[in-house]
Amino acid sequence: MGNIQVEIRLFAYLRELLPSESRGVKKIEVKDCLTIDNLMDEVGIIEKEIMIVMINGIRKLDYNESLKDGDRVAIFPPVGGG
Amino acid sequence: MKICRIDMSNKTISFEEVKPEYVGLGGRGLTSRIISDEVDAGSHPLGKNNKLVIAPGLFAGTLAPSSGRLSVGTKSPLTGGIKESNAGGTAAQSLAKLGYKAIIIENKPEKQELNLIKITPEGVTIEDAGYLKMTGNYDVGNILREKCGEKVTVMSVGQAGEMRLTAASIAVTDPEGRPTRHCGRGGTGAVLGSKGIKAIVIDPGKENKVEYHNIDSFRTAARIFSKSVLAHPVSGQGLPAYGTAVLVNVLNEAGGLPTDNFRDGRFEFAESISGETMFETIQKRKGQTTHACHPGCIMRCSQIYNDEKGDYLTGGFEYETIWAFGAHCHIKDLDSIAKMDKMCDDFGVDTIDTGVAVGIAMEGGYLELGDVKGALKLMEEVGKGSPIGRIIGNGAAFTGQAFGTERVPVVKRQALPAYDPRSVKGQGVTYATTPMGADHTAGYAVTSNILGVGGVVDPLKKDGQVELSRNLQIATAVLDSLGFCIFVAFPILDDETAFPEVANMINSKYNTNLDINEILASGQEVLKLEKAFNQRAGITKAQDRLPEFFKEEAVGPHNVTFDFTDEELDKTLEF
Repeated sequence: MGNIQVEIRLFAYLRELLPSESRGVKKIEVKDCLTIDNLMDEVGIIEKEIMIVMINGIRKLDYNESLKDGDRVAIFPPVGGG
Repeated sequence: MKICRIDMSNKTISFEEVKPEYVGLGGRGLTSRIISDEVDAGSHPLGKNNKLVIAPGLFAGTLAPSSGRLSVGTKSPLTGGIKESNAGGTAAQSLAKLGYKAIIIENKPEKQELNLIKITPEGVTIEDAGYLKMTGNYDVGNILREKCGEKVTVMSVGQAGEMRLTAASIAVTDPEGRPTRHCGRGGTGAVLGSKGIKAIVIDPGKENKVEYHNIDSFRTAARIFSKSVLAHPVSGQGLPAYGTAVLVNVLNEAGGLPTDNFRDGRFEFAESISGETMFETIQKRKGQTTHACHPGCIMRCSQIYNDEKGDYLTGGFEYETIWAFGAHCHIKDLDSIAKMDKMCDDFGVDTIDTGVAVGIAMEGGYLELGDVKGALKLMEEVGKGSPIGRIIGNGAAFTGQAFGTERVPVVKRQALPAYDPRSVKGQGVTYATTPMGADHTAGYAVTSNILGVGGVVDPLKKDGQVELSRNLQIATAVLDSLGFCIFVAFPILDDETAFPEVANMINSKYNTNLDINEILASGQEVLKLEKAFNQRAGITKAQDRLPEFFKEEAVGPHNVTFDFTDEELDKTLEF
């Protein structure tokens, strides 16, 4: 098992979990078996079930899915408009 | 309640009792019914035989939260079909408090003229308003408040409505008296201009004539419903904090942010025009990140956006506007986009059709893609009424014709808004099939496609999209008739206790005994009526289609096309 790199992209108030100069975007190295759920724990996201998670632009509902090298992981709190 | 009829050919004003068959109608349900009953579908939209109907929703002026939307209905000079366009602001509540179910404006003066309609507790009057010629909505409001009182609501047309351009809007003032709320879509401002009306001033006075069959049960239902709205994470937290502009990053991530005239689903500078950037900018400049467009709105998704000096620049600065002048035109400067939003509000044009038109002028080679200075200058021309300004102010379809471009994102000549129909397919079904022409609000499938509200439907697949769009279009017709802001749909879709309280409010105000199915059936009736009008006007299912490039050209990053068959689309509103 090696390490992989993923790009995490946090939005709205979730950005407070990262240093402000990063504007919510950070490349991080993680173990290659890491799941979405693990990643959310690692970043410090609570109320995981209400978040909108997209990997490479595809909405994910199963947080047990493992991440792959180069994944772009976007996480939004509940937001909307129209 | 009463209906006021204003005949602009001889300046007569009459008042009518509400017909029994109109009692249960309001907002869009009433405007579409009156247009359908009284306007020959073959009428020229700017001629004497077209009418303009202004109607508050069934809940206007009541204790129901976020229920101050005002509907304007007419035969659209843009689409050639029936149109209902609704706006926030204070007009609906003021009209309801005065006891008006609707205002019907008909006929037109023989010569072009400008008039002011005053609606006060004393009655309705018409007077000359020639002194407001080619005045923008901001100044019109300032002048009329000085003349008629600080607290009046002003509905007005800017230069575009006077010139009867097909993207012309009708402005409605917000609680601070600014013309930031608009019946934007479909050229309703051109129809008001054609009737020789520059502005309508509404002074609600002190008395509230809104009546309830049972105010106690209404109050209880309204209280429970308000709690549901505030408890939902989108309407209770997301919208008040970030407004609608938060969608820039959401759609960009999902690959549904149409960029460079629908050539890509992501914009490299999305962050510069995002809701997060807007939020920080507003805070830094001491604007307001949260603002209600009408009293009694508990979601307060609007905002006040100041310039670099900290002075007011614009308000009601929405996602679709930021997209149209931003990603669509490859413009990344939020301040410049805010200036163009302000110009749209002032000249009185729809921000979506106008922003898309500027992008089409780029497509046609009039400007370079991303030329922000050129775009600002072009927008100034709209207010001047120069030939090029008139082209842009007529919207995207007209601009496409003027420049001989093929790639024009419109349905029924109305510009597509800010969600790519290939990667948010449910939205594409709504664009194609709503009787209104491409309109995101008519059946906002972004909910289940992207936001995870009201269940989950894969935005990249066809499965379930037709049914989703149909159900949303029906529910939206109901909300538009009640005068609710469509954002109450967020809790309604997720909280099964919310809609029964809507039924309770209807029944306790109107002494009815309607169940949810009967209420939804009324939404279906509105759509049937609108479709039938369009058919009489010559708009058939052949116009329920997206431009062919959406079917032929895949959009990144997901490389998807709009792959519905005509037969599938035709099933959407087949009832």
